[in-house]
Amino acid sequence: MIREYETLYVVSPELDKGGVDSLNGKFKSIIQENGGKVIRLTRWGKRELAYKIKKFNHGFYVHLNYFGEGKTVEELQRNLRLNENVLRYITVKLSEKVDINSKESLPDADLEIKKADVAPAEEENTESKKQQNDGGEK
Amino acid sequence: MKRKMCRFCSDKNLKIDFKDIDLLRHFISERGKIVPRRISGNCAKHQRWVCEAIKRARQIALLPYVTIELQE
Repeated sequence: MIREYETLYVVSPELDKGGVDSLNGKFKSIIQENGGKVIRLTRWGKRELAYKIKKFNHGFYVHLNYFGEGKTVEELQRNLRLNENVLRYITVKLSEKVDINSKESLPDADLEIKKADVAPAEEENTESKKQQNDGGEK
Repeated sequence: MKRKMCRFCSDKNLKIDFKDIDLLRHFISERGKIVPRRISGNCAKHQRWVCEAIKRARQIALLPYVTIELQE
């Protein structure tokens, strides 16, 4: 039975972009080889971690949306667990019993940065607040 | 101020997702604790979902488990 899943994982900041991309390619092929279908891979880029993991403050976040069976997820998670460059991962089931052809595979994407403080109406206020905050933190 | 309608019941388009940390930040305190229902105003069902989403976000370091005060 095919279900829809999403997996978000964090890759060590020690890797360069090419290294992360080759890892992503590896995980995508694992999904495809195990009866799954990748819908979309989204790179979130290098982000600050909420807490230190293995003394790292940053990590590359990658989000995978895919169709698959139990064994697809099992195999993907096994590889994520074994890979030393993967700091954290989480898999969530999005829906039960989907048709594998109901969604097309989309090309890899980079996450659009949506920031609340770029809201046009409050631009001036937030800018002055930002400066205050910066000063306070330093 | 205390009597507040559940945000997710009044706005059906608002989805609770563990990846949406900008939204979830409204439901954690400065210390990183989950805000109780009596303060956030969420209904029981949505508080449960929010709670779960925050815990998922914590697992992958999108949100903190604890926030240590820097000064004082």
